[in-house]
Amino acid sequence: MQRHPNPFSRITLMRPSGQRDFYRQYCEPPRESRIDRSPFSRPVDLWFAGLSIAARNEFKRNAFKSIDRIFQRWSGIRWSGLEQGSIFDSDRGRVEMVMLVAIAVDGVEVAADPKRMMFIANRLAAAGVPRIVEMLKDGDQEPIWNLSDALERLLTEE
Amino acid sequence: MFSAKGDDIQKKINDALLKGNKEELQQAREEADSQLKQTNTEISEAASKHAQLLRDLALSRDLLEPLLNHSMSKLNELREQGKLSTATVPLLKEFLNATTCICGESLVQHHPQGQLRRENIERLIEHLTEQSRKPDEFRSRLTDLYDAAAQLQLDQATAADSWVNKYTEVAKRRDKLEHDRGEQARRLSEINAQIKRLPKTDIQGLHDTKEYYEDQRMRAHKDQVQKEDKLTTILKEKGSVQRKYDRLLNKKGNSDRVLSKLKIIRDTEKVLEKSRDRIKNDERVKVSDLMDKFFRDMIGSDPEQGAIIRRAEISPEFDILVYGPEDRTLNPDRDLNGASRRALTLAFILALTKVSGEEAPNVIDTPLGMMSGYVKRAVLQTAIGESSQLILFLTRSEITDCEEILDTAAGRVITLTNSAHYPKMLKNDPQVSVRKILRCQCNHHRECSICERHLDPVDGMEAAI
Repeated sequence: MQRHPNPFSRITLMRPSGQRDFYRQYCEPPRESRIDRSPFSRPVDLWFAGLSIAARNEFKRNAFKSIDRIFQRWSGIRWSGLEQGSIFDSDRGRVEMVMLVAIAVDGVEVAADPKRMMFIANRLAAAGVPRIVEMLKDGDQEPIWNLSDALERLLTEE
Repeated sequence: MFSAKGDDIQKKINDALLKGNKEELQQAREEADSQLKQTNTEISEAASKHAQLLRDLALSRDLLEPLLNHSMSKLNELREQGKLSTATVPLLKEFLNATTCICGESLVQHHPQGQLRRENIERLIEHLTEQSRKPDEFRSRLTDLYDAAAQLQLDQATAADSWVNKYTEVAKRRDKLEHDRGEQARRLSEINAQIKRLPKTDIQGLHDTKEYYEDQRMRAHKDQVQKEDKLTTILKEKGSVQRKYDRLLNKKGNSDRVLSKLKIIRDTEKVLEKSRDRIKNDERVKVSDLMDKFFRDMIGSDPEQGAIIRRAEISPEFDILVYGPEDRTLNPDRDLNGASRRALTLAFILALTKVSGEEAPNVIDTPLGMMSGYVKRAVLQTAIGESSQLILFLTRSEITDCEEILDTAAGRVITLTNSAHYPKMLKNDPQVSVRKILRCQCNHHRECSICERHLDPVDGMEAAI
């Protein structure tokens, strides 16, 4: 099936400048000695994990009824570009995920506004990344194990 | 020798192997090291796979499952309403006429979220209107999203597809690999410790050396067998040769004895030849000369007075030759009388005895027979003069005419009488039962009862010197 072009290809993925160290610490090209300590090979992977965990939490909490609180929390801060949206050209599953999350937040009409969808995604990622970092650190094991075990618990506790 | 060396090497190998085979341990170390490297590689791969799990779509899908289902339900509604295929702008305007969006969210104007959504819809309508050339882009995007999201299989994902399951597998895999790595590292450490404790013994070298000695031993054994076979053959040949040698030695002994005898014979022959030569050349001449002298003395021959018998000699051929006048040879058997022949014989015997130098008695039986007169007396005197001891057996007739010579020269006289002559020749009975020779001390001047004889004829034997 011929898909519609990636709607985010011309849009930049953003992160709060204050989270730069998170990305620096846990996102490194795969090297044998550092995979367990720095498990995300690309910043977009940490970004997307943050997006996923935040979207899950917000949806579970009240189906995004307090999403504005998140938007406000991250308004007025300094943002930095992370990746160009074209990075999803080879990972279209994430394009659909971002769109579906945005639809869950704003409704289907948001699908016509890629910038809005990315706006929502950037804020959710910004909210989720600190939680991911918290999971990475919380435990006696290497960060990858701490995070994996935390995710496992999260997915199986319900 | 090689067998002993081989045993010694084997003992060293055994001793070394009791402490561990270094080559085998090194091989085991290489294998353990290789396994450890392989495990490390697999651990790295598993770690990469683990890291990939954190960006696996399944993680987002499982984390966002309720949310995604919620969104998908909105898309499903649109689809069921056939709105995904309608023009986008009329659809959006239709949303504005409603209080609730198709996704169920509020579109009420006085509601903050509803008002926000309405504003978004209005911006979108304005945007789509402005881009009337692409009026179906939104609808197309939603349709694509619906179709793509369907491929996420949100409601069809099995437990096996779940991120937790994937993570469980990866975690198990990593745990197992870590455990394996620990075991392999421990094993490698043990092997290294074993190798470190090993004495520096080159077992492979010892094996090579042992193999060398074994090869040498086999060669030596083969050589020994060949030499033993050869020795057996040689011993057989030696026995045969020894027997031949013994036979030849025996023959040689016989030959030596024959040769010795031959040598003796030859020596004897030489002695005899020398003796013969001496006899022939020296002694013969001496004997010949003496014989000639005695003979002529006995017969009274004087060539100057014209005697017939001039001389006698012994020829080189040991013939006694008698020469007459003008050196004419006389035949003793024909040309000499009996007295001369007897005198010649006595002369030869006396000469021979004289020349030999031996002092031995001359025993002569009736030497004066057939002699008379001068010749008889000359023969007797010559015999007496040329003998160291003379024993004569004389008859009464022989003694006749020689009594005074015997009286002068005779040392001891014995008379021998034959008892058988009684009574013809003997006067008295000898008083013996068997015939025998009787002896008495009588001489030519006196008789006793034993030797007394009739006067005529006289034929008894009387003793002489």
